[in-house]
Amino acid sequence: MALLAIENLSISFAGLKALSGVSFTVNTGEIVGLIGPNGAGKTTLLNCISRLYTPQSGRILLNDVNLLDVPVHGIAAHGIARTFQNLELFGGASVLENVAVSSMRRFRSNLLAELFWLPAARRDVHAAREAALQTLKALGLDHLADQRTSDLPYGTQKMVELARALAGQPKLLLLDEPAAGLNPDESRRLGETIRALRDQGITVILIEHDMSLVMTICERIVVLDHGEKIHEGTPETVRRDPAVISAYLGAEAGDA
Amino acid sequence: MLAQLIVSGLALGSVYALLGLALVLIHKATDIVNFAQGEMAMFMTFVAFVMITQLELPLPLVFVVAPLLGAALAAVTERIVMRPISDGPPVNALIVTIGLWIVFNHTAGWIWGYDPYRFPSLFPADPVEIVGARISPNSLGIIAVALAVMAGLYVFFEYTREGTAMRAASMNRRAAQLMGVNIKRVAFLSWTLAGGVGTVCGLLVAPIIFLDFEMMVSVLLKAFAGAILGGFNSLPGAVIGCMLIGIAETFFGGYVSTAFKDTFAFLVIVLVLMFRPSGLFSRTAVKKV
Amino acid sequence: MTLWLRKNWIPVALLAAGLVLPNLVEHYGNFILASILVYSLVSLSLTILIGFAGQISIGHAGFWALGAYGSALVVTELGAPFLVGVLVGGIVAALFGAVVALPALRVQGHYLAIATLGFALFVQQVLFEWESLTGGRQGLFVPRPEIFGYELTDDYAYVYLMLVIVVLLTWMTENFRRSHTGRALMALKMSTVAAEVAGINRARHIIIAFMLSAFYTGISGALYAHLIGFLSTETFTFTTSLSFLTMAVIGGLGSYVGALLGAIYLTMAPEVFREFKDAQMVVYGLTLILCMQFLPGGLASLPERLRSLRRRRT
Repeated sequence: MALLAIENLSISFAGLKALSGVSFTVNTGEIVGLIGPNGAGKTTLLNCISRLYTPQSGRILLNDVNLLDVPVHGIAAHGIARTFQNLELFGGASVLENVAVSSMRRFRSNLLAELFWLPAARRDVHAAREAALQTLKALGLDHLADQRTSDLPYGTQKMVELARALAGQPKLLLLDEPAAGLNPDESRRLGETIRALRDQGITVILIEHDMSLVMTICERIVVLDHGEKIHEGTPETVRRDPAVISAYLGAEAGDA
Repeated sequence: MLAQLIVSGLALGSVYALLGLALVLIHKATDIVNFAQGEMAMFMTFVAFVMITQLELPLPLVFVVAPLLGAALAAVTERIVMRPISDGPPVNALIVTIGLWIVFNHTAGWIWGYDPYRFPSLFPADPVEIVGARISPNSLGIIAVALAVMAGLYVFFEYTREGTAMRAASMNRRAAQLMGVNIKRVAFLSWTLAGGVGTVCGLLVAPIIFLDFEMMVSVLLKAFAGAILGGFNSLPGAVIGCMLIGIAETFFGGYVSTAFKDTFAFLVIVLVLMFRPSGLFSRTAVKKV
Repeated sequence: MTLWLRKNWIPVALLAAGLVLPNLVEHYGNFILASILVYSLVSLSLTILIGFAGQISIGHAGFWALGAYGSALVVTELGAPFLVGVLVGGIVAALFGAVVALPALRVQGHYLAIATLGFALFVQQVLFEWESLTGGRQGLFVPRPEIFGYELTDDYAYVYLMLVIVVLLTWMTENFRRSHTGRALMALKMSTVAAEVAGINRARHIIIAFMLSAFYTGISGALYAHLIGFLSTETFTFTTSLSFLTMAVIGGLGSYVGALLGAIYLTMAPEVFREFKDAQMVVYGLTLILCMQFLPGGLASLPERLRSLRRRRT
């Protein structure tokens, strides 16, 4: 069953096409890889789904709700959470505070209760903390709860960002290069974590340059190049498609 | 009456446009709104006043020297005051420009006192008859000077190496940096240019509303309103926006009320930000994440 | 008990000082204390706006004026009790705070600071022109504060009343800081995109921050009106707005301690710099710039700063 349907999505910036006519669907409980050379439009696509960008044309349907009618701050309530390519953590705050920001959404009383620190407001803060702590425990990060986020090593910060996304209790998780900057061991463990999340019923879209990670955990892969979808299939078909190979080789030849 | 109002509206708009250009120049290059822009111009106009009255320099010469000194003042300010905090949170930079505002404003008051002075105009005051309308040569002169400055900026950005680098930097800072554009130098140049252009604005304003330490506050507000109308990131947009503000203000003053002209600018700012946040002419900009 | 005291010695010491000091000083001393309390509310309001929400205002004199005139007029024209007047002053200011912040629905960045500049000039102009209401050039007399039928004729009693209000609002600020709306604002300040994606409505929160900040400043303006007893539009100029910003930044935008230090700075600086009266604002401006360069956390961060400097040396 399709959880997310991208239909004919196009967006351009100052006349430059970043995405043109991209369509594909993501089924509930799938891990879908989104790959392509640099500048192919992968992050732009995630930014459209998470509503940071508004495409010029096309639709994004989540369970038949058109996400383009939803503002950025509304997507969490629709069950979408994401991480960012270049970390977007609340650097000065503690790990627990970072993660709790995502769980706050589910516990909101009114401003007066907050100003006078009424029981309702106290309960909210406590509940969000507890929920965040649970999420940290599930990822084995609870011993870091009181550390300042910006003091942690890069790989750990990436995991904190993942924890923050999960604390929003998403149905659909968007990961933008979660393995970048991780060592092979961390990267392998990340793969296991993502699989475990999928087994709990979370659907995942994964942008990643680490091909071994993508090939091992993704059921399906969508390949973008120059803003267009050039392939959609299983890891096997992707590996054999000459168009994909030439897109990557071309890009690498260009980079070098 | 109508032609007269249009010409004086355009003249007023030209004055606003010069300050608006200075604001947009710095904002494009650094994302900083320089709240001290008007006060720096006022300060330099006082310096020009000293050159005229005490050094007895000829007025046209002052019109050349003062903007150069204004550019130098802005350049020094950028190096000493702004650059050390350029890597900090943007709110800090904003607070520092407000600090500069206070310093320039009250240093002027401290040195030159709080009384208004009559400032000589480059142009004759007696109105001339042009196709039936009585037009003030001062208005025409202001428009001409403003157009000359704009033409100069156009040539600079289109035809010089530095200008091209600044244009590239304002479009995409990271990409420009990768292509070898020195971002700090761009910030420095934009402050320098803005300092010069702002000073011209001060020299044109002073003869109309007397030279005094508070003369630029409401000009700054109008320049903001005009720049916001133009989207705050486009130089031609700022010029057109400020011209519209000048004309609207003149008509508002001519037909409705002169007491609430600043109120009018405030309303324009709030309404434009609410309903056309990217200005009248441009498309929305997006932040990269 | 001792542990509790070691953790909370700052508020305890401040409260004790607040209770004792009015008895140790003469009449003028109590006026100074009252001024510090009045300014500390403005400083606190800017702590909410700048420190929590990351928004700048250079128009707070406008909210201050709305609180002052709002309260004075409700008390003199409608015969409302003093405390009702103060509350009305705060509410009127808060409503205008919402208006100034409305553009947050559509724009990001520093545009709201520009709107506050326009707002300050707008309020100044309206107060000046609307003579029938504000007395314009002539000014407006404001009665002394009165509570449950007792007129607080001297500042000694008024200082204690203010102290109650300031402690209450400080407590509310600390509550706000640790509750969800406050945390959401600080998240928005640190990373707007991440906060929005996590479900935080940016515009709504920024409007709340502006309203709350304006409310505090309105209360302060009302208390000020009844302290001075006479309102003139010249009190609420643009320079006043800039002094407010200076005091809040120099004190430190992170805490109520900073807010209090800022208020003390703004009250005492004219006493100290009386010699060079004209240069006083220049000193404000320079301290503002220097503070941002060398002590961005303000005076409140000085102890910590010295500690870290000492640590680096050893």
